[in-house]
Amino acid sequence: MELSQKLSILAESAKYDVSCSSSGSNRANTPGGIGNAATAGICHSWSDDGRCISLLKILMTNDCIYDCTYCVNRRTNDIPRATFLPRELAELTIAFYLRNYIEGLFLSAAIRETPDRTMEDMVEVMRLLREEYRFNGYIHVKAIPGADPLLIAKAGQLADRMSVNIELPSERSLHLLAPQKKRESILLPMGQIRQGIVQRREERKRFKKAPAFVPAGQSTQLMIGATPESDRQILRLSQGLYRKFQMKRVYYSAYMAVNTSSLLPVPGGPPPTLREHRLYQADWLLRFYHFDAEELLQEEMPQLDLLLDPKCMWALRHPEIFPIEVNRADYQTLLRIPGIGPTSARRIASARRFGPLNFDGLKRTGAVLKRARYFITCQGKYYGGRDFDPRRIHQLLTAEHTYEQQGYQGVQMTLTDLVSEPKPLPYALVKTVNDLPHVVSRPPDVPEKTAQLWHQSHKTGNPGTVENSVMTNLRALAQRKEAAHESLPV
Amino acid sequence: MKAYLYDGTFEGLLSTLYQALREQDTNIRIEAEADYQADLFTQTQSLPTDQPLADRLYGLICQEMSAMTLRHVYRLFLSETTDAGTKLLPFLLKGFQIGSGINGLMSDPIVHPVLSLSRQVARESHRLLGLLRFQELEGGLYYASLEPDFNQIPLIAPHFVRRLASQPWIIHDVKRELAACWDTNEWVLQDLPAGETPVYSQNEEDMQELWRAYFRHIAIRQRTNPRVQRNFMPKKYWKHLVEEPGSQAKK
Ligand code: SF4
Repeated sequence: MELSQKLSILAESAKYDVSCSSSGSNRANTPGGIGNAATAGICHSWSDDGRCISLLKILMTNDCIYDCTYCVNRRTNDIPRATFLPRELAELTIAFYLRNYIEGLFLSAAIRETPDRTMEDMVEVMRLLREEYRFNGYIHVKAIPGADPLLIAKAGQLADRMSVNIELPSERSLHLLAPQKKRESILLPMGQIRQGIVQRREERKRFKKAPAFVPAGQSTQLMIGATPESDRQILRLSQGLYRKFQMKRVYYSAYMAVNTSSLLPVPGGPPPTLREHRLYQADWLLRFYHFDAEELLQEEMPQLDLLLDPKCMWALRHPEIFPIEVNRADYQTLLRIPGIGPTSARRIASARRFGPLNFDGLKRTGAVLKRARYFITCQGKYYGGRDFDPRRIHQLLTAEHTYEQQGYQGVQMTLTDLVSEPKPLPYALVKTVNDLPHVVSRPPDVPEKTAQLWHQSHKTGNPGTVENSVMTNLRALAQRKEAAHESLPV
Repeated sequence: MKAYLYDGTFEGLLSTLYQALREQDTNIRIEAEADYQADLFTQTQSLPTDQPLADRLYGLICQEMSAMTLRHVYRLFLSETTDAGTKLLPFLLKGFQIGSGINGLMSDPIVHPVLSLSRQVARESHRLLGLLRFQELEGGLYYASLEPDFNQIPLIAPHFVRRLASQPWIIHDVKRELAACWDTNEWVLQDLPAGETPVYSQNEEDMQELWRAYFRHIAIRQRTNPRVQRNFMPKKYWKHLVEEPGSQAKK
């Protein structure tokens, strides 16, 4: 089989894996060697689905002996099969790396013949790269569940990052959809890698020269929407993985229905990308904003809101804290303001050192105030309209969201679309505003549709209302979006 | 209004800034001689590079502010925007008052324009570290061309010196007709006219085809999203890529 055919088949089979980050390792180049790993991570391209390409994400083989219900590569699917020779893949990696197409290799595999056999081949690719080609670029390798611990250990010495995909967020689902995989066979290598990392970190404190073991840490992936687990279950699982396994990243992948099975969503339906997006936002809050999964999702309300991001939802449920005065709040509190991330919070904190911050100064720090202004005061003044009223703000923000989602899908929008009945969102899991889980109970007289919002702001005839200025913004956005749409390459 | 003109070199900018700073007058325009558009109301004076003064200011910025501040100054110089020097004068004056805190003073109307332009330059550099594409020429030299908004070669060359240390290469800014050349020993910046097509190695076309095949197959068709793609990778960079972005959207 031709190399280009192999490459196509094995890229096709690898593309549902979402992890592609190349950050967290800072391997230096060695004399006569090739490459280094940049701590910050570098994206080399963006594929047509808008995902970053950093690593050569590829399978060693897609020739699988297992039959996981959700997987394209399962044994019973009739698809072309291919397997790389270790040297072939190593050479390809080097050729791509030298041309600066990639930051390194992300090697995964279906299970060919036995887990050991598969893992051996993968280790051989890495050995060739590191030892023969003296490659110092980034390598992320999947640990194959069920492979010999010795092979896992060997892989850990060669790789920058390792991962074992959990895919199915509960044991029940695993049993149902991947009967040949056992919970233990996933947790075992995960524990082993964690232990290896911890141990080597200790050793390196004493001997600087001790060889690295998975220096960029370990990650995993969960599949979203193939099985009935709630966001709360998923997020709590992630939190546990971060805390207990010191996972660097948990990735979420919106399940793309590829197989027909009574256990799975119907093929051809749209993947729940918006839900995936919300989970990433919530995950971000766990890792960088010191939120707790329980704060974000309670038992009575186990799903993330699709119309509003989790931080906004949290803020709207806590009117006792908001609005927050940006000149007084400490760093941790600044982080709780919707629209303000670690960078903005840091900038605000350092700008304040030279005197109180006014609203113009705040704008110049680059904080995104479109959202934040509803949740802050600046030198005592509130810039989000009349006062901090969670119901009103919820209305405004969800209206913006509905609008943006439509623009996002490339739908041509006109102002009449905007003021008439909002179209249902083009996602499988969408809810209407009406069946959102409300903590803030909405009085019946508050208008629910964008249209009504529009009419109301007209009726009051007050050009200074926030509603009105939001509409003006939306209109400007609509014009810009339309202009952008026309320049699409057709 | 007064304008001081420098000769277009970084040292020239520094020594001119130094002389203007001594006057403590923030109302002086500082521009490169070549870019200067004469007008009736401005008194101009061309100042030649004074190396000792340039060195002085270089050291003073590091000492009184920080190495990061110096990096901002350098990036503004490389931005090649006409008013970069004029923006830097009040910025540095302020820097001498408050020290290294200047790097975090985004909210200040004098500091903000400098930091935000510096950030724009840095953003493009980071993008190019990923988007640069080398092609193998006959004889084993690696060649990459680019046309960045700002003068990026001095900023990105060191990264490739570290990464592709044992591989001679040329990075060629065809817009500015400027190239960084690395011979595995040292790198130099030199003029290099655009327009000639180099001769590629035998392997090169095949490798590029493999990369294009990979690029086509790694995208999930059902999730095609040209907007996000162009957001991260603006069209102006596509010309020098090997892959063909946007071909899914066409179909
Ligand atoms: S073992 Fe992996 S490749 Fe094989 S069917 Fe299961 S998920 Fe797919």
